[in-house]
Amino acid sequence: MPLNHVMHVEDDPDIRAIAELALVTVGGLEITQCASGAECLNALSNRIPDLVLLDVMMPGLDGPETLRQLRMLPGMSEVPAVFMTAKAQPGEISDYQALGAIGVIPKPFDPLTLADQVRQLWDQAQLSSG
Amino acid sequence: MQAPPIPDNERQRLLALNSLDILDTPPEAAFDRITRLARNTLGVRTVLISLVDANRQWFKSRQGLDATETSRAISFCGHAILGDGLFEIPDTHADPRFADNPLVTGDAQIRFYAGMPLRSRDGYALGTLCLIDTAARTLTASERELFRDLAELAEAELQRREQLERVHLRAIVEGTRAGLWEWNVQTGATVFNERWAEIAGYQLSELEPVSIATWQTLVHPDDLASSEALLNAHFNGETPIYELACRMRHKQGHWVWVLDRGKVVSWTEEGRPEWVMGTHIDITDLKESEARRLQTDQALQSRERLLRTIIDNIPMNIYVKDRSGRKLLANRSELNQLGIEQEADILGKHDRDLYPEHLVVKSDQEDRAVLDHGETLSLMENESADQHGQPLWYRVSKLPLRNQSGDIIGLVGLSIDVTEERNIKHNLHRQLQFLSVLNDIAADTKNTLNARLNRALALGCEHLGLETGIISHIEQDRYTVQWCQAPASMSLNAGDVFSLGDTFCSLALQNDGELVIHSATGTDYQRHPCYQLFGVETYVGIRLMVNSQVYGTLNFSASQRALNSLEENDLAFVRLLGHWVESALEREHDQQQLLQREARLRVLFELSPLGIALTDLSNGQFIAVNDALVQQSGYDRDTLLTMTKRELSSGLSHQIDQQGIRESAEKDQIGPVEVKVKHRDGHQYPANVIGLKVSDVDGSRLLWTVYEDISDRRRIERLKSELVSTVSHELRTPLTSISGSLKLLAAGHLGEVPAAASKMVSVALKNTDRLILLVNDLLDMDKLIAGRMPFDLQPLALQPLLATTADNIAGYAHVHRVTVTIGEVPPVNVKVDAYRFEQVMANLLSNAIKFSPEGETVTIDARTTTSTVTITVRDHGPGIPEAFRAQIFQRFSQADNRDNRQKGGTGLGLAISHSIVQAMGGDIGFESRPGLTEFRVVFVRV
Repeated sequence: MPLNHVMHVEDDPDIRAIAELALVTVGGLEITQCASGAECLNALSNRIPDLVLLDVMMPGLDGPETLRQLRMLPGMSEVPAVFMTAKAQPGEISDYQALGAIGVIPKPFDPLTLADQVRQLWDQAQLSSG
Repeated sequence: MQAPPIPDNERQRLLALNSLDILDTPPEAAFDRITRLARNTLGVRTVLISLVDANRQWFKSRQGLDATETSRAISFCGHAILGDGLFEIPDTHADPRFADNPLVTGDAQIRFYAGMPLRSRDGYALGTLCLIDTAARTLTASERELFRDLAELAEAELQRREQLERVHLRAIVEGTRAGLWEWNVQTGATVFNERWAEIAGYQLSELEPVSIATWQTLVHPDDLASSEALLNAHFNGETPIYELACRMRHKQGHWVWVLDRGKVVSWTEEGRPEWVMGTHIDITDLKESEARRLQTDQALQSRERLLRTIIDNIPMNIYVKDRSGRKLLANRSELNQLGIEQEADILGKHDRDLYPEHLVVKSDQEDRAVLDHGETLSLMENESADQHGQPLWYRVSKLPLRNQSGDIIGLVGLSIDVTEERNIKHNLHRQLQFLSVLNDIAADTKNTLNARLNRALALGCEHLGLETGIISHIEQDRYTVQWCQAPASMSLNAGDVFSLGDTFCSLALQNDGELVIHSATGTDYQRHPCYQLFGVETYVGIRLMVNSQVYGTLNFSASQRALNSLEENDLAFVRLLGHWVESALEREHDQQQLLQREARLRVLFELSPLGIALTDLSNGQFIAVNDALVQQSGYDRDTLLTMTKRELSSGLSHQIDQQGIRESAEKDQIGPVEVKVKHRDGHQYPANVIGLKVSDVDGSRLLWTVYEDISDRRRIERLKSELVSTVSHELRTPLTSISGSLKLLAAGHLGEVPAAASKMVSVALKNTDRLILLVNDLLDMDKLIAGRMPFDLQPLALQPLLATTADNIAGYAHVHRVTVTIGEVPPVNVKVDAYRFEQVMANLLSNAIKFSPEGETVTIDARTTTSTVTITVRDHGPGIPEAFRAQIFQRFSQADNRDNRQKGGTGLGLAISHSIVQAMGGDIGFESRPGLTEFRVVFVRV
């Protein structure tokens, strides 16, 4: 199953704008964007995405906490999650994987390749689970 | 003239003659009767019985002649005894043998001679009966017959004597208590008398039948040989008698001594000894007493020698005087002392001849006491002097010498030289005295230094018998009296200053640091200012060294000569006293310095921003704490001093404490270790602790500990870490937006960008990338320094790793128009973190590309040893400047700051690479020259 719908949770509106361009315009994906963890949890009651892309550092619920809570929502226990963080660099992904993420995309990300990176992680997750 | 020839049997003849014992005996009537008869009947002037001895003829009887003998050489009888019968010379004048004979030509005027030989029983012609006249004549036949008869009478008379000899002897011997023996040498017949047997304890009848063998069995075998030798000597005429003291075995088995004497009393016709007669006298008693006497004599002699040896070798003078005081004996020791070689030179001399008068008077009195009253004098010490005038001391004993009846006949003097003993005693006494003085001074700890030094000077003065004692301090030419003891009249006080040159101490300092002047008067010292100005007569002074520097002097002096002359001991005393003064001054000096140093250290201790505590190692109790520790821990000082180190720093620190103590068993230094200190308010704070073990003067083990409160440092570290984390987040968030926007712009996703704007967008993008790199590098560096960078080390194949690296850098290389090629890479594994390995390679490659001229190639190679893999990145750039090489792996280092702008880069790349490689157990190095630079990374081969 190809990746189609991504839920993107990011508190910074500028990054949300760039990510939208990168994923939708450049990447051709359908996205739902939320400005906080709480908004994300609410939005999930409406529609289950294929993949959740979570910023780590957010006021209120941060990325890992949001992931913990959304896992408890109906139908969300298996949805792949990917962290985006400015705190870590590539290669230091094990901590985040332990939280249940299939991958980490460090900030700053390349908007031209962001969709590809997400798709790659999706494909890997599909392979390993399939 | 013809001298009479010597007959062939001359020896036996002489033996036979001698055995008669007739020569030189008085005239005998029996012979005189015959000669007288012959003269009267034959009518001749002279008739003689002549016996021809070895060199003379001797007349036993003579008629008509006064001479008693004449020389044999001119004798007529010498001729006469050669023949058998009458020897007649009718006219000497007509006979060529005698014509010129002095008896013919001389006063004797012999003209006629007739001689008849007289023979012994054995037939030897012993002499003649001869007729002599001054007129020539011839005997008639009847006259000759008469003459022969008369000669036979004379001969018989001679032979009778031979017989008589044995009979007489026997008679004589029997009258004595002598044993008698007779032995016929030729036949072996032997006769012993009763006494002979009795001497050996036998009755003669017990021994019979006797023979010479009887004798031979009884005589001591050792004596038999000498007996035979002596007998033969006697038989040969060598000895007039045979005599021997020999031993005979007594019937009861013991030996008796016998004086054995014998003599040949008759001879055979062949001249061999026939009868030997001899006597035995019992000389056993004599022998024994002789032996006893010999023994006694020898014993006496050896005793005397022994005594003499003892007397001469005993280390004591011994002499014997007679009643008048004359020396009768002086032993070697006495002679040596008097300087006299031979005892003989002193014997008979009186003390007056040997000693000075005053000694003699005293000695005489002593002698009289001994001689007149029989007193024994002892344990007196006399004084005399040796050649050098040094006093000599003797322990003298005088004893009376008595004879057997108890009368005093002289005296014996014994004296021992006890000079040395006395000197030793004297010195010992002095030494004990000054040791006790020194001990008093040294043991005095109650008083102050001043008091003790003054006391030392006072005791020194007293001991030396000198009035002034000074401890001076000398600086250049300045002599300062520091402490002194002096008579009030001198008005000398501590603090007085003199010119050094005016003191004898100036000489002491030059003179090996010691000077003794017994008496200045009459010496060169008299011209010295010290004598001239202060009248110092006696002086003893030594240099004082304090902390290896000349401090001054210790000196004692007096204006008069000391009562007792200063001895070597006294200098030793001053030296010892000086040592004590030196050490006292040194101690004082050290103490002052110590106090100063302690004051300085105390300031440091109190003002130190670090907490400092002194702990008793045995129980951990605090002994001293400084303000900083008080403030740090929140306790007041008194509370802290009741606590132990462990109570202050517990929990985790306890464990570290144990470790610290364990370490301290081997090392004096502990730590630094981090401990948690319990604050008074209950919270704990981290502290770095360093300890140093020391020994106190009393030997107890102490521990200095420095507590550095590192809670601030920890807070700052935490803040910094948070800051880096925050900064990186806060920076990256806008950078993400900027970078993302610019990339979308540049990629044309937001529509066509005008050319001029596009250029600016790419400038903005490039600088955004650099900003991102810088942020990343700072974050890496922070993690590396803090040791928080995680490494996921895996054995990985080298070839694909390098291929990925080359691929990733290809775009960058293309921009710089540089080619990156992979050379030879062996198929080996290395144990690395893939991401960090790539980071290092990317850094090295980007540097190589950055500095390569356009069109050049950057080459990646790898080679292996058995244990290592070396990866090289080679470029053909200008090379690394010499000055930069040493710091190439340091942070924020770039060869040229302008590179930042021209080449890009943060200046952290190589430093990060270096740290990463080391963290992965590898090493990094380089080699560079213009046109060729090679970086090498070495990893452990898997």
